[in-house]
This record gives sequence, structure tokens and C-alpha cells, in this order.
Amino acid sequence: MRLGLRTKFFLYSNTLIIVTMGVVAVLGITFERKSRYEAIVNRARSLTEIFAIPVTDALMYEDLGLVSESGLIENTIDEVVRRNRDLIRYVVVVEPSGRVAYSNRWELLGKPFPRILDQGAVGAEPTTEILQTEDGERILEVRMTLNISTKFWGFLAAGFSLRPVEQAVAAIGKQVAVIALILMLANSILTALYVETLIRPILALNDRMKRAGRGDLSVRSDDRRGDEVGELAGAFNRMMDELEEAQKIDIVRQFQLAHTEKMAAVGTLAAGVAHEVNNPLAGILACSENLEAALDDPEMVKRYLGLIRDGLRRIERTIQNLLDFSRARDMTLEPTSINHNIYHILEMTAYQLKSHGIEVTMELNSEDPLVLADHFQMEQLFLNLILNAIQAMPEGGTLSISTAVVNGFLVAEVADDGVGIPPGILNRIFDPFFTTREVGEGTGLGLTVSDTIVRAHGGSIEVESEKNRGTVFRFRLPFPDGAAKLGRST
Amino acid sequence: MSWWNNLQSILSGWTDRRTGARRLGVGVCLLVTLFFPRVFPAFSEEAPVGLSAHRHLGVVGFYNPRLMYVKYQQLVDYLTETTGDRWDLAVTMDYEETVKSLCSGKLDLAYLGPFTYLRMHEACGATPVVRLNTKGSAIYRSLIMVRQDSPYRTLSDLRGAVFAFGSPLSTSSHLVPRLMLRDAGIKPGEGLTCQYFGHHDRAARAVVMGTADACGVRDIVGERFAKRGLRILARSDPIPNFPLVVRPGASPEFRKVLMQALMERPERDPEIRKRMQGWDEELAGGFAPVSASDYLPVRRLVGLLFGKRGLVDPAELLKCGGNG
Repeated sequence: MRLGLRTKFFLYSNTLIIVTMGVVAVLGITFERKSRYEAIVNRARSLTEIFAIPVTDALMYEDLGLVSESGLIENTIDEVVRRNRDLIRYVVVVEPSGRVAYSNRWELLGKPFPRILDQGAVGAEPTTEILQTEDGERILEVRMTLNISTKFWGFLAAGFSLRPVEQAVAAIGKQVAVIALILMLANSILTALYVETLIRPILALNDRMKRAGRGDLSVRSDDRRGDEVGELAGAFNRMMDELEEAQKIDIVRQFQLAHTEKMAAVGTLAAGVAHEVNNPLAGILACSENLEAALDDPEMVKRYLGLIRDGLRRIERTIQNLLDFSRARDMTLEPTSINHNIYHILEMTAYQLKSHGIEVTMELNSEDPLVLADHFQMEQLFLNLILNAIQAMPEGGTLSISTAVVNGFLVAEVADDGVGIPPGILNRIFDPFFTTREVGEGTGLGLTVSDTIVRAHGGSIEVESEKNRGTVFRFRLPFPDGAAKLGRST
Repeated sequence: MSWWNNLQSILSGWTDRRTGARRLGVGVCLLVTLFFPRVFPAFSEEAPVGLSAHRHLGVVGFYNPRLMYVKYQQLVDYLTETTGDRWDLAVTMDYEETVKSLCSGKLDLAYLGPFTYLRMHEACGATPVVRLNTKGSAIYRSLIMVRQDSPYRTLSDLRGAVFAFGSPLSTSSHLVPRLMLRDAGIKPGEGLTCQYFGHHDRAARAVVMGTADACGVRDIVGERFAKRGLRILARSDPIPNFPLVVRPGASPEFRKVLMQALMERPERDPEIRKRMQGWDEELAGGFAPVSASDYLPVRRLVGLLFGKRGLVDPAELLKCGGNG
């Protein structure tokens, strides 16, 4: 799946946030856990050390018989436990014999304490150990001797719950998670805004480029931004300017080419034109001779003058047709009858067709559909295709012309049953100056111009050919407004 | 201290001679002491009541001094508030010293056990003004405790055991348990090894720690140790609860002020009763009326155990088997 720039940017920045927050959270929690753990160890040790003093004193006075302990140590233990209820789970005062003498955990009284400190531990630092209770609570136990100088009265053990630390660390973990979530949300919003300001022009430029790629050379991008995107848009615009300029030159060149090709076609028609002119001329000549002989008879004069005028008018129409056709014109789109174009061109090429022994069959759409097209270009298109067909049938044959309306397009076919086009060159026949004929027999532009005309009208042209079976040129032209076709006014 | 020695020698002289006249004299003295305390001369000048005199409540050293303040300072503060005098706690570590201090007038009021009271009365005629009403009862009991895992089921099983007592002068931690043992057929000192630990707590703890097999303690202490590995083997008959004893020669006004403060006002004022409930459990039940005759059973008990000298013999002489 291809991801868009927006999605990529979004994923990238959020991944970055997650990774960064993850690293920060792990480091922070590790550090926090460590420092809180150290703090509780220090507090536990301080409490135990301070607590050991009155306990030692009480034991000493008791030992000396000065003041009876009688309840003091137990009371002190209760007091200390009460004041540190969140933290202290138990306090145990153990006799040198290893048995518990005082504790807030009454069930331990008189019993041996499992973790012993003896006289040898006097003067050493308090011992700390982490224990696990049956209900899963972790306990930090601090043990220290009860001594003055080297006089040993047993030891003190105090259990401190690590649960508050663990809960605090868990709470920090939750806070960090919440902060990370908020940052991600904020990042998402900011990214979205940033994408709109930064990426939108890029996407817009991309969109313009796609349109340009589809042939619309008029598109331009907004290049007013002062950043790299603006520069890119400016470069794009300059490129489009150059492309448009090149296209204009190309259009002119194509126009010139088309005209050249048209002139060539006119040349091809010359024999037919000569024939068309020659016939009335012969008639006119005969009439003029006869006129001379019948000057006295006004009836005859009048009749011969009429015949001469008819012949001259026929010549004039022929010449006018040729002039009309050969004149260079700008493209003008107007409702055009394709059927009419076909009749007109067949009339112009009647001599060539007849002289080549070619029979014409037509299957034209009876509704006579109109397309929005340039009348003269359409005629040039058919002329090219018909001349092409004539040349493909040197031994004569059948020229088939049809028009139809298919799926909202006008589809016209010009088919011959001539020599056909070899498959190897079929894909090159629309290339400019490509020709299979002898030098001087054609411009090599006929089909190129045909293709240009069809595409200039928003249509497409294709060719099917089979050797010695003939060739079919088929082109389709869109009706204006898609499927709607222009109705012929009645 | 000389007055005390003199007094002791006088008392000893009386009993030693064992003459009828002397016995009569002692009897008369006792009567006079019990019912006409004011016949005895005041040992010190009494300050007028309610005029910011500095007064002292003495308490026998039941506990470590720190605990004495914890337990009794609220009572002292209450007396200061209600009597108009300034009261302070006078903590003594010795039963005998409390007796001497009250008799000499150093203390105005003393809180002590029944036996100590009787000795005090014997010494200087001091009389009780109220007694404790612990948990609503004007009597208390002595408990004989053993370890929970020990084999003892009856008192008679304790033959041959090591028994922990508190002070030899303690009623519930010595006299009463000794009588209970004697009633069970065990003769302390012969069928039983006696050890004295000075305080109820220490006696009980000696059993917990295995130093002794059984102990006799005051009920509120025993009940506490019932949660600390001991169990109750036997309960004594009722003992009149601890008295608050006024020094000899105290004026009737002083006694009246104390009666009002300790009994009448709490009876009238629920606020004071509520306040008292926040005091140490010994005192939280307030106070009950008392008369000297309430302690006659204890006197008889002393007589049974030690003979008439029981009230005047030094503590050492009261110990069973003479060991400690």
C-alpha cells in the first residue's frame, strides 16, 4: 500500500514521540524508582538507628536495675509504628539469645527470630534486606545491633513496606503515560495543522503536475511562498511556460504540416480536377463552335449560351471546391455532419476511385449525427483516409465507409480490402514522415495529420490490418456534453 | 527518713511485745485511724483548697515513668482544671516511697493498690476518697496466666513450676495469686519457685519469654498479654478496685473538692464522662464511692498469708521462699 505524504508525516512524527516518550519514561521511572528506593532505605535506616537509642537505653536501665522497662519498649514500638503506619510493618527487639522479646507482632514474642545479628555485628552498619511476604508485599528489613560501645543487648529489626514506593512509581508511570498520550494528541493536531500549511501546497503542486501530465499546459502553481516549496512552484511554472510556448510553436508547425499535407492531397486530386474541368471545357468549346455557326438564329444562340454558362458554372464550382479545400484556416468548431463530409469527399475523389476501379459501399447512420468539429478538418481527415485506401488497392477493390453511434461516441470506419499493413510497422504508421511508398509518392504525413486532427477534437483513432485482406481505420469522436448528440434541426 | 524508721520501730515494738494491752492499743489505733483520721496530726500545713496550691498526685510505679505520664497526666490536668489548684504527677518507682511521701504530706493524693493502701493506712491513717471504676466495675481481679502452648490446665498443674510475681507488695500480682495457689494446694516457696519482677508487665513478659512458667497479674495487664501468647489459667475472686488515697490530715473541704471533681461532676456532666473515656483504660470508667471497710477482705487476706506482720514487714520479708 502506498502511503500519502500526510500519513507518512503523521506516522513519522507520532512514532518519534512514542519512542522519545518511551525512552524518557523508562529512564525517568528508573531514576525515580532508584531515588525513591534510596530515600526509603535512608529513611528506614535513620528511623531504625534513632529508634535503637531509646530501646538500648531502656534495656540498659533495666539491666542495671535503675528504671524498669515495664512496658516502655512496647509503648515506644507502638508509638513509632503508629506514627509511620504507612511504612513500618513490624518492629522486633531480639534478645542476645535470638528470641523476640518485644514486638508489635505479638505472635513473634518469645519465638526465635530467623535472621540473627550477633555480638560480631556490633559496630557494623545496619543490615538491609528485601523480603517477600506471603501476600506478595515486598518488605525492606533493617537490622541493627542494640549496643553501647561493645556492650551488646541484642538487636532490633524493623520491616518497612516498599508498597508506597511501588505505588508512587506506578502512579508516576501512569502520569507519564497520560502525558505521552496528551503529547501524541497535541502532536497529531499540530501535525495536521502543519501538514495543511506545508504539505498542502506540495500536494497542490502535485495535483497541478498531474493535470499538466494529462495535457493541460495552462495550469500554474502558487509560487508566492518564500520557501523551497515556493521555489519549486516557481520552477514548475517556468517549466509550464516553456512547455506552453513549445506547444504553441508545435501547433504552428503542425498547422503548417497539415497544410503541406493538404496541398499534397490537392495535388493528388489534380487529375480529377483536370478531368472535371476538361469535360465542361470540351462542351463549351463545341458550343462556341456551334454558336458561331448559328449566330442568326436567336433561339440557338440563346440555347448555346445557356449550355456554355452551365459548363462554366460547373468549372467554377470545381475550382471553388478545390480553392475552399486548399485554403489554410484556423480551427473552428461548429456542429458538423460527418455524413455530409463523407459525401463531399467522395464527390471530390470520384475520379480517383473510378479510375482505380474501386467500388464504394456505405453504411451511414441514418440519423445523420452532428458532432462539434471543424468542417474542413473533418473533410481533410476523410480525404486522407480515402486516398490512403485508394493507394492500398492498386488493383481495385471495395472501399467501405460507415458511421455509427456507440456508447455516446460517433464511430466512423474507413475500410479497404487492399494489401494491408505489415504487422511490424503497424505501430509506426502515425509517426511523422513514416512512409512505405517510393520517395516523392507521398509526404509521410497523411496519417500523422489524421491522428492530430482526431486528437484535436478529443477523439482517438485506431487501425486494424491484415496482409492482403485489407485495413480498417476506425476513429471515434465525442459528442458535446458526453453522451448527448446534437440533433439535426429539421 | 528518720520519722519512718521511728514509725516502723514503734509498730514493730507493738507487735513484737504481743501483750494484750498492746493488741488492744493497736485495735484502738486502727479504729481511730479508720474512722477518725483527723485525730492524727497533720504532717504538714495544708494549703487552702482552690487557691492555686501546688498539689501532687502520687502513683505507685506500676510502669516505666514515661508510661506513667502517658497514662495519668490527663487525670492530673483534669484535677488542675476542676479543683483550682495546680496538680502535678509525682512518679515514684517504689511502693514504699509512695507510702512515705503520702504520709509525710509530700503527696496530696495517691493512686495505689489495695495492699499498699492498707500499709499506708497502717503507717499514717491515710484514707481513700474514691476507687477506680475500671470498665464500669469497682472491683477487679487477679489473673494467673501461662503460655498458650503450655500444658497447664488447672492451678494444681503448676506444682513445681517457676512462678513470676510483680512486686512483693502488689495485691494482684503477689498476694492474691499466692492465695489462689495456696487454695489449689500449692505452697509457694516449696511446691513452686517464686520469682519477683517488680511489675506486672515484666512478670507477664517473663512467661512470654519462657523465663517463668506462670504469672499472676492484674486483669487489665493479663488481658493485654492474652493477645501476646499467654492464656488465662485462673481468675481470682473480686478485689476492691484501686483507691485514690488522700494524705492524712487532709481537710474535709479538700476531700469534698476531690469527691466533686472525681465523682459528682462526671455523674452530672456527660461531657466530662466522655472526656474520661479518652483516658487510659484503667481510668476511663471513672470513679466509684469507697469506704475504708471495702478493703477489709484484703486485710484478711494479708492476715491469712503473712499474719498480722504482713502490713508492716519490709517487702523482702514477704517474698515466698526468700528468693527473688
